Amino acid sequence: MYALSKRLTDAFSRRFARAVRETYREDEAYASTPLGRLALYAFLLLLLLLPLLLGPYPMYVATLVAIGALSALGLHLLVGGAGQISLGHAAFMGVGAYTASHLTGPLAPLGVLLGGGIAASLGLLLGLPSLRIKGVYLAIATLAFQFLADYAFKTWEAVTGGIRGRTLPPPEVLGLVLDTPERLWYLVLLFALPLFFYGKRLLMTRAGRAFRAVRDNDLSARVAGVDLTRAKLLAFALSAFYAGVAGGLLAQLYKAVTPEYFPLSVSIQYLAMVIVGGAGTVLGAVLGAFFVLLIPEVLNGFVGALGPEYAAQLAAWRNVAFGLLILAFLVLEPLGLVGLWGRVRDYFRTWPLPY
Amino acid sequence: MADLLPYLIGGLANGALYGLLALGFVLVFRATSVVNFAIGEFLLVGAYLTYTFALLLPLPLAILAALPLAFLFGVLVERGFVRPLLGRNVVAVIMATVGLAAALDGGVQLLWGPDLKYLPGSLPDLGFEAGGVYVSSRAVWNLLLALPLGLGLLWLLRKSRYGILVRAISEREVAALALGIPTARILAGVWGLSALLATLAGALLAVASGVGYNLVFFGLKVFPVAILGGLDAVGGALVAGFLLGVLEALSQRYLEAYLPGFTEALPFVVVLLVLLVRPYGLFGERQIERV
Repeated sequence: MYALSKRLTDAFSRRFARAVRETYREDEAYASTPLGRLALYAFLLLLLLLPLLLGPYPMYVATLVAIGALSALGLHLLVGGAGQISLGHAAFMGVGAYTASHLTGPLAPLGVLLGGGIAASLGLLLGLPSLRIKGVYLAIATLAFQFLADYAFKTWEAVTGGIRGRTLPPPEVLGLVLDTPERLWYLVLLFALPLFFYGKRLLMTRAGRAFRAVRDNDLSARVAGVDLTRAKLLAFALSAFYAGVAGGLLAQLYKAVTPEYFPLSVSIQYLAMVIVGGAGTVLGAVLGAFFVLLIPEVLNGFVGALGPEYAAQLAAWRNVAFGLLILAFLVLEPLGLVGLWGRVRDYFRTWPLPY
Repeated sequence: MADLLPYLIGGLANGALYGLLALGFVLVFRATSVVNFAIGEFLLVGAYLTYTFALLLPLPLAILAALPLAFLFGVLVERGFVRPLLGRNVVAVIMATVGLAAALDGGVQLLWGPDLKYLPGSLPDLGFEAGGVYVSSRAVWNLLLALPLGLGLLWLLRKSRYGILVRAISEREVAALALGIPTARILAGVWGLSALLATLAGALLAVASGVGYNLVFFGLKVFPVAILGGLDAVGGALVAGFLLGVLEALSQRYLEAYLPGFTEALPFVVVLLVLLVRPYGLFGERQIERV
């Protein structure tokens, strides 16, 4: 009986969910089982064909989620990867968005890329002093950066257009005007897919392993030869780069940039995505962004049903929801949705005969 | 110079509250190495508690009634969200305070509504004029309450049994536990004390300018103050509070004409400058380990 159970579960896990990776080749693979690979290809195909399947508004939301997931992945690399906290993620997105608002039309892809670059350099400038000491200083420095950026967005009229912000013409690629979410989707994919695969691979490289060593125990990481400041700085600059690119894409979607898009509460929203998604994985970033960005949509319906006097306080409801989500996941399911999924998978891995 | 004095008095009045708030914040950081990002919301909750009591009681009594409740609130926060995360990475606890901050932000608005509220009563007017300069009642009350309380707490932390236990725990928690110090109870007390101080600051603010959501932004200035004084320097928090108050007054007087709104951003410029030049703050312990 036992032997049978073992053979069944072995066969199952080889095919559907590999528990242990035995070779470097397996570790480096994007999907560890044939079925997983198939799912990956199917998912990529789905992404490419999505504009054919969805209407304009769902497509708008899908683009929003994709951009959110990209930005959340950046924060994942920092929080889940290197164990540092940033409360200024929205500000870096803002930097990217305002940069992109100056390079538009045919230059839009360049503007988005440059937005990431400028955000990353600002991240380096900010991280250099605060990462010399301890992680908590970075958290406070990013909070300060969030407020200073907010101030700059509102008052540096020459660059940001002040409170009224700036508007953008739709981007153009190879003479094609990307003026609808369906068309913009492909520009988003153009940036998001490489960055996603890069993020996935990064965690397997020397630098990515250094991040995780710093997260788990900085002292032993140092003893093992990891340059702590360098690793933390790299993680921070990378997360700023992802945020900048995402911000630039967001500006293309909204066709405008104003200071209201990037307040502290948005930074906290991204932190919620990371915690809800869980555990510094690419899958976590996607799940977290999906979950958190859909909450306002659900809340809209829920609060709207309660009555109009409640609907006026939607922002407050949203804050409560994000706050409680962060707390609940931290206390009850620290590994986030990825952890939940992992437990469901482990249950089925040995399913008919768990012992 | 003479026209600067009113600004300075206002700055010191704010500084006293910054100091009080930062004192509790730094105490929590020293004892538990948690950066409490919900400190601004502690102040907010405290101010609204005072407002609620002030609807029923005379104002001085209302403040006195809010303080024990605030202490209890701090203890509950420690029990509910800090203690369950014991043994986890300190990053997790800090993020829990961020989540708590967001939840309280929204919760307070849902409970008390979004509009600014004024307290029904007021404290006795202690304002006076000296040498042609008017010292507002607000400044007198703030200094009168904050200074003795702050200095008294510092003295207690240094000399009293409770204070020594707190310092023992912040030095090495596991060793303190092994010596039979009731660590859990004392840490809960530290959180309670922090909430109590924030509530006192919130109450004084509420008396002066009403209760509204924007009090959170006052609370956020605790970070510049704590960084300036040194994140682990309890006494430094008090001094840095006054220092920031004065800096803001100077900016209000001299810079506002050229850079409108800059005073709002100034505290965060201070954060970045201090981190660049002297990251352990004016009075913080210089850390030798680089991990």
